[in-house]
Amino acid sequence: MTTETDRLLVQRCLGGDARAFEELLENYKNQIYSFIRRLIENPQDAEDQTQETFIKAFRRLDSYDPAYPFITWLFRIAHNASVDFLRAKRPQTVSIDDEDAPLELEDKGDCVETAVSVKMETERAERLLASLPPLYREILLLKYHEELTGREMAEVLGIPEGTVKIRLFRARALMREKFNAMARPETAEKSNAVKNFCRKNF
Amino acid sequence: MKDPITDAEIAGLIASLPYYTVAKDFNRKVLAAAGIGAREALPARWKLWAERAVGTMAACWLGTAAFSVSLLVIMNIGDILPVLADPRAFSACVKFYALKAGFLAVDVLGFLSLAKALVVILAGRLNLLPYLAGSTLLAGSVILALSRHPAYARPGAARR
Repeated sequence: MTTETDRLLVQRCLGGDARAFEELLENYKNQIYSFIRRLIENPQDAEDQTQETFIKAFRRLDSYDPAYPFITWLFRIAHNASVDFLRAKRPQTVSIDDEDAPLELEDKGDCVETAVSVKMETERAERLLASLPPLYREILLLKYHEELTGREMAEVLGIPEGTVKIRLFRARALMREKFNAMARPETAEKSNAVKNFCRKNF
Repeated sequence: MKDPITDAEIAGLIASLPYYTVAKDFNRKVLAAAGIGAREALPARWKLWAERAVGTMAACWLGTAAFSVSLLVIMNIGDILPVLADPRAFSACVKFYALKAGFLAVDVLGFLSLAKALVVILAGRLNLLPYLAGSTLLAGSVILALSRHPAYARPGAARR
Protein backbone atom coordinates (compact mmCIF):
# COMPACT_ATOMS: atom_id res chain seq x y z
CA MET A 1 0.00 0.00 0.00
CA THR A 2 1.35 3.39 -0.94
CA THR A 3 1.21 6.36 1.38
CA GLU A 4 -1.00 8.23 -1.12
CA THR A 5 -3.48 5.34 -1.26
CA ASP A 6 -3.60 5.27 2.54
CA ARG A 7 -4.30 9.01 2.67
CA LEU A 8 -7.16 8.62 0.20
CA LEU A 9 -8.60 5.75 2.21
CA VAL A 10 -8.36 7.77 5.43
CA GLN A 11 -10.12 10.70 3.73
CA ARG A 12 -12.87 8.34 2.60
CA CYS A 13 -13.17 6.95 6.13
CA LEU A 14 -13.54 10.44 7.52
CA GLY A 15 -16.16 11.10 4.86
CA GLY A 16 -18.18 8.20 6.24
CA ASP A 17 -17.12 5.36 3.92
CA ALA A 18 -16.92 2.32 6.17
CA ARG A 19 -15.51 0.15 3.39
CA ALA A 20 -12.38 2.29 3.28
CA PHE A 21 -11.66 1.40 6.91
CA GLU A 22 -12.26 -2.26 6.17
CA GLU A 23 -9.70 -1.99 3.38
CA LEU A 24 -7.14 -0.43 5.73
CA LEU A 25 -7.90 -3.16 8.26
CA GLU A 26 -7.39 -5.88 5.64
CA ASN A 27 -4.09 -4.36 4.49
CA TYR A 28 -2.42 -3.96 7.88
CA LYS A 29 -3.98 -6.40 10.33
CA ASN A 30 -1.36 -9.15 9.93
CA GLN A 31 1.50 -6.68 10.09
CA ILE A 32 0.28 -5.12 13.35
CA TYR A 33 -0.65 -8.52 14.80
CA SER A 34 2.83 -9.93 14.07
CA PHE A 35 4.46 -6.91 15.71
CA ILE A 36 2.30 -7.11 18.84
CA ARG A 37 2.58 -10.87 19.05
CA ARG A 38 6.35 -10.72 19.08
CA LEU A 39 6.15 -8.31 22.00
CA ILE A 40 3.36 -9.91 23.99
CA GLU A 41 3.91 -13.51 22.81
CA ASN A 42 0.54 -14.92 23.88
CA PRO A 43 -1.47 -15.27 20.62
CA GLN A 44 -4.87 -14.57 22.17
CA ASP A 45 -3.67 -11.52 24.09
CA ALA A 46 -1.88 -10.30 20.97
CA GLU A 47 -5.05 -10.63 18.90
CA ASP A 48 -7.05 -8.77 21.55
CA GLN A 49 -4.52 -5.95 21.60
CA THR A 50 -4.50 -5.85 17.79
CA GLN A 51 -8.28 -5.44 17.82
CA GLU A 52 -7.92 -2.66 20.39
CA THR A 53 -5.33 -0.98 18.18
CA PHE A 54 -7.62 -0.84 15.18
CA ILE A 55 -10.65 0.21 17.21
CA LYS A 56 -8.63 3.07 18.72
CA ALA A 57 -7.32 3.95 15.25
CA PHE A 58 -10.87 4.14 13.92
CA ARG A 59 -12.06 6.32 16.77
CA ARG A 60 -9.08 8.69 16.55
CA LEU A 61 -8.81 8.80 12.76
CA ASP A 62 -9.26 12.56 12.71
CA SER A 63 -6.05 12.94 14.76
CA TYR A 64 -3.94 11.19 12.08
CA ASP A 65 -1.22 13.47 10.70
CA PRO A 66 -0.73 12.84 6.96
CA ALA A 67 2.88 14.05 7.27
CA TYR A 68 3.69 10.52 8.48
CA PRO A 69 2.80 7.24 6.75
CA PHE A 70 -0.38 5.68 8.08
CA ILE A 71 1.42 2.50 9.09
CA THR A 72 3.71 4.55 11.35
CA TRP A 73 0.69 5.98 13.12
CA LEU A 74 -0.78 2.47 13.50
CA PHE A 75 2.48 1.18 14.93
CA ARG A 76 2.44 4.03 17.44
CA ILE A 77 -0.98 2.96 18.70
CA ALA A 78 0.14 -0.70 18.68
CA HIS A 79 3.28 0.19 20.64
CA ASN A 80 1.29 2.10 23.27
CA ALA A 81 -1.23 -0.74 23.58
CA SER A 82 1.58 -3.30 23.99
CA VAL A 83 3.43 -1.20 26.57
CA ASP A 84 0.24 -0.74 28.62
CA PHE A 85 -0.47 -4.46 28.44
CA LEU A 86 3.07 -5.46 29.41
CA ARG A 87 3.12 -3.02 32.32
CA ALA A 88 -0.04 -4.63 33.63
CA LYS A 89 1.28 -8.13 33.14
CA ARG A 90 5.03 -8.74 33.28
CA PRO A 91 5.89 -11.33 30.60
CA GLN A 92 8.08 -14.39 30.98
CA THR A 93 11.12 -14.07 28.73
CA VAL A 94 11.48 -17.23 26.66
CA SER A 95 14.72 -19.06 27.30
CA ILE A 96 16.77 -19.85 24.24
CA ASP A 97 17.25 -23.35 25.63
CA ASP A 98 13.53 -23.94 25.95
CA GLU A 99 12.75 -26.82 23.64
CA ASP A 100 9.29 -27.37 25.11
CA ALA A 101 7.72 -24.32 23.57
CA PRO A 102 7.59 -25.03 19.85
CA LEU A 103 6.50 -22.14 17.69
CA GLU A 104 3.90 -22.74 14.99
CA LEU A 105 4.86 -20.98 11.82
CA GLU A 106 4.15 -21.46 8.14
CA ASP A 107 6.45 -23.67 6.17
CA LYS A 108 8.44 -22.09 3.39
CA GLY A 109 10.48 -24.06 0.86
CA ASP A 110 9.49 -26.53 -1.77
CA CYS A 111 10.92 -29.76 -0.39
CA VAL A 112 10.75 -31.26 3.06
CA GLU A 113 14.47 -30.77 3.74
CA THR A 114 14.40 -27.09 2.77
CA ALA A 115 11.17 -26.58 4.68
CA VAL A 116 12.60 -28.14 7.84
CA SER A 117 15.81 -26.14 7.51
CA VAL A 118 13.92 -22.87 6.98
CA LYS A 119 11.56 -23.66 9.84
CA MET A 120 14.47 -24.37 12.17
CA GLU A 121 16.19 -21.16 11.15
CA THR A 122 12.96 -19.22 11.68
CA GLU A 123 12.43 -20.82 15.08
CA ARG A 124 15.97 -19.95 16.05
CA ALA A 125 15.42 -16.35 15.02
CA GLU A 126 12.14 -16.25 16.96
CA ARG A 127 13.79 -17.65 20.10
CA LEU A 128 16.68 -15.20 19.84
CA LEU A 129 14.27 -12.32 19.47
CA ALA A 130 12.00 -13.56 22.26
CA SER A 131 14.99 -13.76 24.63
CA LEU A 132 15.48 -9.99 24.38
CA PRO A 133 13.55 -7.50 26.50
CA PRO A 134 10.50 -6.08 24.67
CA LEU A 135 12.29 -2.71 24.55
CA TYR A 136 14.95 -4.10 22.21
CA ARG A 137 12.68 -6.56 20.47
CA GLU A 138 10.45 -3.84 19.12
CA ILE A 139 13.28 -1.63 17.92
CA LEU A 140 14.78 -4.53 15.95
CA LEU A 141 11.37 -5.41 14.51
CA LEU A 142 10.64 -1.84 13.49
CA LYS A 143 14.07 -1.41 11.93
CA TYR A 144 14.64 -4.71 10.13
CA HIS A 145 11.22 -6.33 9.80
CA GLU A 146 9.10 -3.29 9.08
CA GLU A 147 11.95 -1.22 7.56
CA LEU A 148 10.97 2.04 9.22
CA THR A 149 13.33 5.01 9.06
CA GLY A 150 14.91 6.51 12.16
CA ARG A 151 12.46 9.39 12.10
CA GLU A 152 9.50 7.04 11.80
CA MET A 153 10.77 4.85 14.65
CA ALA A 154 11.19 7.94 16.81
CA GLU A 155 7.59 8.88 16.03
CA VAL A 156 6.31 5.37 16.84
CA LEU A 157 8.21 5.05 20.11
CA GLY A 158 7.84 8.67 21.19
CA ILE A 159 11.59 9.11 21.73
CA PRO A 160 14.26 11.27 20.05
CA GLU A 161 16.08 9.91 17.00
CA GLY A 162 19.35 9.86 18.95
CA THR A 163 17.79 7.54 21.53
CA VAL A 164 16.55 5.31 18.71
CA LYS A 165 20.10 4.91 17.43
CA ILE A 166 21.47 4.13 20.90
CA ARG A 167 18.72 1.62 21.57
CA LEU A 168 19.31 -0.03 18.22
CA PHE A 169 23.02 -0.29 18.93
CA ARG A 170 22.35 -1.92 22.30
CA ALA A 171 19.76 -4.25 20.79
CA ARG A 172 22.20 -5.51 18.21
CA ALA A 173 24.92 -5.96 20.85
CA LEU A 174 22.54 -7.95 23.01
CA MET A 175 21.44 -10.02 20.06
CA ARG A 176 25.08 -10.85 19.35
CA GLU A 177 25.61 -11.87 22.98
CA LYS A 178 22.57 -14.12 22.88
CA PHE A 179 23.60 -15.63 19.57
CA ASN A 180 27.10 -16.36 20.82
CA ALA A 181 25.75 -17.82 24.05
CA MET A 182 23.57 -20.14 22.02
CA ALA A 183 26.52 -21.17 19.90
CA ARG A 184 28.79 -21.75 22.88
CA PRO A 185 27.00 -23.53 25.78
CA GLU A 186 30.13 -23.35 27.99
CA THR A 187 29.57 -19.61 28.39
CA ALA A 188 26.57 -20.11 30.67
CA GLU A 189 27.93 -17.54 33.09
CA LYS A 190 28.07 -14.95 30.39
CA SER A 191 24.52 -15.84 29.40
CA ASN A 192 23.39 -15.24 32.96
CA ALA A 193 25.14 -11.88 32.94
CA VAL A 194 23.23 -11.00 29.81
CA LYS A 195 19.95 -12.05 31.43
CA ASN A 196 20.70 -9.82 34.41
CA PHE A 197 21.43 -6.99 32.00
CA CYS A 198 18.04 -7.64 30.36
CA ARG A 199 16.22 -7.56 33.68
CA LYS A 200 17.85 -4.28 34.62
CA ASN A 201 16.96 -2.64 31.35
CA PHE A 202 13.31 -3.74 31.19
CA MET B 1 35.60 -19.80 18.49
CA LYS B 2 32.48 -19.07 16.44
CA ASP B 3 32.58 -15.73 14.58
CA PRO B 4 30.15 -13.24 16.12
CA ILE B 5 27.02 -12.63 14.15
CA THR B 6 27.30 -9.51 12.03
CA ASP B 7 24.81 -6.64 11.88
CA ALA B 8 23.87 -7.72 8.37
CA GLU B 9 23.12 -11.23 9.60
CA ILE B 10 21.01 -9.87 12.46
CA ALA B 11 19.12 -7.76 9.94
CA GLY B 12 18.65 -10.78 7.70
CA LEU B 13 17.42 -12.96 10.57
CA ILE B 14 14.81 -10.41 11.67
CA ALA B 15 13.77 -9.54 8.11
CA SER B 16 13.18 -13.20 7.29
CA LEU B 17 10.62 -13.66 10.07
CA PRO B 18 7.18 -14.42 8.59
CA TYR B 19 4.00 -12.53 9.34
CA TYR B 20 1.49 -14.23 11.59
CA THR B 21 -2.14 -14.26 10.47
CA VAL B 22 -5.13 -13.28 12.54
CA ALA B 23 -8.22 -15.41 13.04
CA LYS B 24 -10.81 -15.51 10.26
CA ASP B 25 -13.43 -13.59 12.22
CA PHE B 26 -11.00 -10.81 13.17
CA ASN B 27 -12.45 -8.26 10.74
CA ARG B 28 -15.99 -8.96 11.86
CA LYS B 29 -15.10 -8.43 15.52
CA VAL B 30 -13.25 -5.18 14.89
CA LEU B 31 -15.97 -3.75 12.66
CA ALA B 32 -18.66 -4.76 15.15
CA ALA B 33 -16.75 -3.15 18.02
CA ALA B 34 -16.21 -0.01 15.96
CA GLY B 35 -19.92 0.12 15.15
CA ILE B 36 -19.48 -0.47 11.42
CA GLY B 37 -21.68 -2.98 9.62
CA ALA B 38 -20.07 -5.89 7.83
CA ARG B 39 -19.64 -5.62 4.10
CA GLU B 40 -22.89 -6.45 2.25
CA ALA B 41 -23.26 -9.76 0.52
CA LEU B 42 -22.01 -9.88 -3.06
CA PRO B 43 -25.41 -10.00 -4.84
CA ALA B 44 -26.66 -7.04 -2.78
CA ARG B 45 -23.59 -5.01 -3.77
CA TRP B 46 -24.05 -5.82 -7.44
CA LYS B 47 -27.74 -4.98 -7.16
CA LEU B 48 -26.91 -1.63 -5.56
CA TRP B 49 -24.37 -0.89 -8.26
CA ALA B 50 -26.89 -1.75 -10.98
CA GLU B 51 -29.60 0.40 -9.36
CA ARG B 52 -27.23 3.34 -9.13
CA ALA B 53 -26.10 2.89 -12.72
CA VAL B 54 -29.68 2.73 -14.05
CA GLY B 55 -30.73 5.65 -11.85
CA THR B 56 -27.82 7.77 -13.05
CA MET B 57 -28.51 7.00 -16.72
CA ALA B 58 -32.23 7.65 -16.33
CA ALA B 59 -31.50 10.95 -14.60
CA CYS B 60 -29.17 11.96 -17.44
CA TRP B 61 -31.77 11.15 -20.11
CA LEU B 62 -34.57 12.90 -18.23
CA GLY B 63 -32.35 15.90 -17.69
CA THR B 64 -31.49 16.03 -21.37
CA ALA B 65 -35.17 15.75 -22.33
CA ALA B 66 -36.18 18.47 -19.87
CA PHE B 67 -33.42 20.72 -21.16
CA SER B 68 -34.39 20.16 -24.81
CA VAL B 69 -38.09 20.77 -24.24
CA SER B 70 -37.54 23.89 -22.17
CA LEU B 71 -35.08 25.25 -24.74
CA LEU B 72 -37.60 24.63 -27.54
CA VAL B 73 -40.37 26.35 -25.62
CA ILE B 74 -38.23 29.34 -24.67
CA MET B 75 -36.97 29.79 -28.22
CA ASN B 76 -40.54 29.70 -29.62
CA ILE B 77 -42.35 31.43 -26.75
CA GLY B 78 -43.38 34.24 -29.03
CA ASP B 79 -45.31 31.82 -31.24
CA ILE B 80 -46.57 29.57 -28.45
CA LEU B 81 -48.30 32.16 -26.22
CA PRO B 82 -50.79 33.46 -28.81
CA VAL B 83 -51.74 29.89 -29.69
CA LEU B 84 -52.37 29.04 -26.05
CA ALA B 85 -54.52 32.12 -25.68
CA ASP B 86 -56.77 31.12 -28.60
CA PRO B 87 -58.55 27.72 -27.98
CA ARG B 88 -59.33 27.05 -31.69
CA ALA B 89 -55.76 27.86 -32.73
CA PHE B 90 -54.51 25.70 -29.86
CA SER B 91 -56.55 22.72 -31.08
CA ALA B 92 -55.30 23.17 -34.67
CA CYS B 93 -51.77 23.53 -33.38
CA VAL B 94 -52.00 20.31 -31.35
CA LYS B 95 -53.31 18.42 -34.41
CA PHE B 96 -50.55 19.90 -36.55
CA TYR B 97 -47.80 18.86 -34.17
CA ALA B 98 -49.37 15.46 -33.62
CA LEU B 99 -49.22 14.92 -37.38
CA LYS B 100 -45.63 16.14 -37.44
CA ALA B 101 -44.75 13.76 -34.59
CA GLY B 102 -46.39 10.93 -36.50
CA PHE B 103 -44.27 11.63 -39.58
CA LEU B 104 -41.18 11.83 -37.36
CA ALA B 105 -42.09 8.48 -35.77
CA VAL B 106 -42.40 6.93 -39.23
CA ASP B 107 -38.95 8.29 -40.11
CA VAL B 108 -37.49 6.92 -36.87
CA LEU B 109 -39.08 3.51 -37.51
CA GLY B 110 -37.69 3.52 -41.01
CA PHE B 111 -34.24 4.35 -39.64
CA LEU B 112 -34.51 1.59 -37.04
CA SER B 113 -35.54 -1.02 -39.63
CA LEU B 114 -32.61 0.10 -41.81
CA ALA B 115 -30.28 -0.23 -38.82
CA LYS B 116 -31.74 -3.66 -38.09
CA ALA B 117 -31.20 -4.78 -41.67
CA LEU B 118 -27.61 -3.54 -41.51
CA VAL B 119 -26.97 -5.40 -38.27
CA VAL B 120 -28.45 -8.59 -39.72
CA ILE B 121 -26.18 -8.33 -42.75
CA LEU B 122 -23.12 -7.59 -40.67
CA ALA B 123 -23.97 -10.27 -38.10
CA GLY B 124 -24.40 -12.77 -40.90
CA ARG B 125 -21.09 -11.94 -42.45
CA LEU B 126 -18.97 -11.14 -39.44
CA ASN B 127 -20.54 -13.15 -36.63
CA LEU B 128 -20.95 -9.93 -34.72
CA LEU B 129 -22.46 -11.31 -31.53
CA PRO B 130 -19.20 -12.58 -29.94
CA TYR B 131 -17.54 -9.24 -30.68
CA LEU B 132 -20.44 -7.36 -29.11
CA ALA B 133 -20.44 -9.64 -26.08
CA GLY B 134 -16.67 -9.27 -25.63
CA SER B 135 -16.75 -5.49 -26.02
CA THR B 136 -19.62 -5.17 -23.55
CA LEU B 137 -17.77 -7.30 -20.97
CA LEU B 138 -14.59 -5.30 -21.45
CA ALA B 139 -16.37 -1.96 -21.12
CA GLY B 140 -18.24 -3.18 -18.03
CA SER B 141 -15.00 -4.37 -16.43
CA VAL B 142 -13.28 -1.05 -17.08
CA ILE B 143 -16.20 0.89 -15.59
CA LEU B 144 -16.31 -1.41 -12.55
CA ALA B 145 -12.56 -1.20 -11.95
CA LEU B 146 -12.47 2.59 -12.29
CA SER B 147 -15.47 3.10 -10.05
CA ARG B 148 -13.74 1.14 -7.25
CA HIS B 149 -10.36 2.87 -7.59
CA PRO B 150 -9.62 5.14 -4.58
CA ALA B 151 -8.59 7.95 -6.93
CA TYR B 152 -12.17 8.25 -8.11
CA ALA B 153 -13.72 7.85 -4.70
CA ARG B 154 -15.89 10.59 -3.31
CA PRO B 155 -13.57 12.95 -1.40
CA GLY B 156 -14.72 13.21 2.19
CA ALA B 157 -14.45 16.37 4.24
CA ALA B 158 -11.21 16.06 6.23
CA ARG B 159 -11.74 16.76 9.87
CA ARG B 160 -8.99 17.77 12.27
